[in-house]
Amino acid sequence: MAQMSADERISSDVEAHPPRTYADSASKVWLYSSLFWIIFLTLVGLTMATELVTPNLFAGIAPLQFGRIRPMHVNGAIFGWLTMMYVGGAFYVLPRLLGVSSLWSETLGVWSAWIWNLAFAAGIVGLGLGLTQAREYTELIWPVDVLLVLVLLSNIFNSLMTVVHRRVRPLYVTVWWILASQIWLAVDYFIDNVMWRPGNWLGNGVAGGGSPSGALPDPLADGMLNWWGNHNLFGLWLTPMMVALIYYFIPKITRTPLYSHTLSLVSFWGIAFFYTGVGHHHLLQAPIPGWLKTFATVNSILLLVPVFAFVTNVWLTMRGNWSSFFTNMPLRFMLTGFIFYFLVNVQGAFMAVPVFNQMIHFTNFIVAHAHLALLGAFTFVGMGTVTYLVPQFLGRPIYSRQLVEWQYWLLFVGFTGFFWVLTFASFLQGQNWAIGIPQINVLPEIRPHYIARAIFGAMILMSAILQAISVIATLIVDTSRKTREEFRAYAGRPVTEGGSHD
Amino acid sequence: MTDRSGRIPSHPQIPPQVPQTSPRRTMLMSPAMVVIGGLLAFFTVVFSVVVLPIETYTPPPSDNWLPISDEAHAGRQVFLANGCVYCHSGFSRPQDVFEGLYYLYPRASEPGDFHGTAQSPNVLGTARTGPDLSHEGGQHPDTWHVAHYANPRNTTPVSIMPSFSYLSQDDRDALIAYNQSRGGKDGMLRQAAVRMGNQLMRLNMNMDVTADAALADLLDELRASGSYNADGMPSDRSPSGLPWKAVWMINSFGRGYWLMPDPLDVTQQNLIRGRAIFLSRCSGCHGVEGDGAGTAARSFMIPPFDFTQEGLPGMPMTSSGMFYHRILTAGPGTAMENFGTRLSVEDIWRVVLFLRTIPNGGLTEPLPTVDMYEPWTPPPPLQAYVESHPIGAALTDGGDRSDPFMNAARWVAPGMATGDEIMIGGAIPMTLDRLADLIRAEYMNLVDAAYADAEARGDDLPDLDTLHSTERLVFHAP
Repeated sequence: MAQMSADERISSDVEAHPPRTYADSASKVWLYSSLFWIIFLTLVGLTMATELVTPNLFAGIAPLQFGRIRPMHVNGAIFGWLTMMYVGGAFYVLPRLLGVSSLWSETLGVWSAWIWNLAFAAGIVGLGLGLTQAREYTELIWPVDVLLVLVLLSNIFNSLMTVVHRRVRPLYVTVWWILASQIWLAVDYFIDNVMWRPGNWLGNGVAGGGSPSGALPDPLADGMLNWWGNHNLFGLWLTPMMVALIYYFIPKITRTPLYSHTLSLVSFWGIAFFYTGVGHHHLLQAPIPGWLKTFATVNSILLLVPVFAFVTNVWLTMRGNWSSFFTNMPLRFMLTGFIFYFLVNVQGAFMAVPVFNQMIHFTNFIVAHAHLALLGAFTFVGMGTVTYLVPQFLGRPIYSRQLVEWQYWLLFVGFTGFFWVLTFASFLQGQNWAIGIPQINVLPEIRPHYIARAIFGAMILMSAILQAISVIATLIVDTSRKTREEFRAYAGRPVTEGGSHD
Repeated sequence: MTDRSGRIPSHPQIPPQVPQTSPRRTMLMSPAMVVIGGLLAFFTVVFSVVVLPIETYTPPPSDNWLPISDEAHAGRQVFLANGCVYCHSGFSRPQDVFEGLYYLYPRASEPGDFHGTAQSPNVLGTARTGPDLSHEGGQHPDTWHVAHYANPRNTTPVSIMPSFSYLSQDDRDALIAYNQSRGGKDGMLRQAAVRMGNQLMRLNMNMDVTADAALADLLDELRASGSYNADGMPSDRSPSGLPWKAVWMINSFGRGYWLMPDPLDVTQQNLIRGRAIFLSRCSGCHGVEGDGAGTAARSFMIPPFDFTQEGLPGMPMTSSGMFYHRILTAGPGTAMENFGTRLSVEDIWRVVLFLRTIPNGGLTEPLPTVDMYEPWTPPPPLQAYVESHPIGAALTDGGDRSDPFMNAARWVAPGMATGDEIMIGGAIPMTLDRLADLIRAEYMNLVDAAYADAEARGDDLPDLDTLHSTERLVFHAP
């Protein structure tokens, strides 16, 4: 240990004396904003689910029509709730892992959050008015795309500068993921939205519009690019950021070192190589080149390698710690999401097998699968992150454990019910279509499923609202004051202020 | 084996002979490694699965491909702005095509069906919450779409589609034009047949008709020869004694169905089932009282059939077989859809049984009963007409079954045999050959109009002869 380099000396120095306080101002804006967007998106989702049961509900009101609000729901989930929550989490984690007290520029981070919020809200209003590029997941019109990519670039710059000015030399696995996936998202967003072809920049639904906006001129090439890029939103942004947060929070909360550095390398490079090439499995039944379908299927199954590496790593880190699953709410949220993540990947690999895909293609199986990922895996991890970070920001315990329990169980029951009714509905659809029964005849059969889906959807909305109530109540009320007073009365001596909550 | 703090280390001690290159150090990730390595991995895959296929995969237009007209192109923008693609997929899959079943998905989409900037951005879609629309052209007449957009429950009571009553009339008409443009040449042929059938049906009923170019030429010719008078057409009787109007109507039913009786017994069970189907499938157009005044009816040019009529038992066009054929295969020229894809044969016959109870309260009483059933006897002129037009001739004559336009004509007038001549509305002489020619002219006019629009837009087009080629054209009845 005598040949310790200067860098390493700094590192060990930081480990012994970490910064006393952290700024966290950018992290707060990103994280708190996400709380609004999850309520918005689940409310829109519930509206859609209700419209499928009572289609005359908002008849004649264009901005509330199913086709107009569906992109609000989808984009709200990806770019409103999950992205803002992830960036909030990343901006919290980065300074702590790099031994610095703040990001390179907290101001830039705060500004980027507000620009993101405003640009995205403008995009949502545009969707209501029919201003859309009309390609799934890339609906937001070109000016909004530009603003969002600028924010992504500023976040990348901010993160990189924070890394450059770090005081801990080795980069923990979470930092790799945060750096790489922010870059991947920016590049993927640019390519997926075909941003070099603004065309008629108000979107493709505008009457008398010229060349298509944000789309390749050849329709099949456009479809291939569209679905390749769309899947990378999950593969190179939503999944890696969830993995990043799990890699940080599970060891942190359980106070156990990560089981294996090597396994985390396998999962990082595995996802970088395999996940980038799976998008065409959305088009297995469409007239695209056969070799591309094969490539997508093979990659989708190879994806199990990094997933198993990650799952094994976390599972072995959890050895001996499972009792805290029942006692620690953030940990319970995260591990629930972690288990759903494992399930969604195994399910996804099988869905990319052509024979199985033939049966479930175009059915609600896909909808259930997408919710298993974004709601089951990522939202659970996100709610865990929120529940963990807010007390950290404020230095006080969460307002009510009981409220968080309700939030957890509403989401859990709401999601699992939602998942199963849609999965069973998809079997009805797939089996009926396979013997030539037309789609319209299956509608009455799956109507009970749609009704149940709306009920479960209401539970999910309730959970999102409870999360906001829980955070707002924590902001207003410091329950630790009462606890301290009780303890003071019990112990008969003063206790220092500002004890932190686990 | 303990470190300085006295704990067992979490990794093995590195032997002294390999001090500089311990794996633990070489496997550390630097920021440059993460950024550059991450981007390298990303762009390697981008090259293989994005650049390569897009650059190497440029399928030529398929045999079925057609350009779309300006109005359809404007309608496509309405389609995109309102998110239709989220429920209506835009390609049919190989497993969707059932040769033995009726018409639902006539063919699987080919790469060459997707060609040209007019079809960008893609509308491949991901869910089939509603039916696939890649072959929608000509599946329904325009008026059906008008009623459907006002409220989809008008035409399809079980539909879960939102109402598009908020669309302006121009937007709605453009959207309809887009729907009719889908399906390439096959769709265009269906549309030509539906339009021609509709105009002839309206001429036959003495209704105002703005004839398309193909038909207008024929009418001018007839006017010049003095045998056609647009103001009032004679309603002479055919040699068999039936009015010509009735003859044209009867020939819109398959010849084998003209006098076909009910194969099912009249039981209350059958009647109740028939009524349930009537209410869930038919009441939108034919009305909950069966009087043809459903909510959709006001959008139609040809009113839906009124089942409450007094004279129903003695009318010439109301045999059970004719009802059955109409439900099974749609009404050419009217807004009536084919239900052969959606109802079983037994269920269609149950509906037919039930229809006969409507004049006696089948829909107004709590339950239809067996004694409400009104038997039908063919009027003598019909009997005579049927006897003079035996099934054999229609089924065995030597017509060309490979000519798509002739097949379309046979769909418009399935009762006609080669050589038959019918005076539509008592004035317009119609044979199968002439009908096929009219449909061909209508089809070519539609193709030419779309071609002219696409050329003016500057689309990438094959030459007009290729588009006029009917070599691979198939008539898939709507």
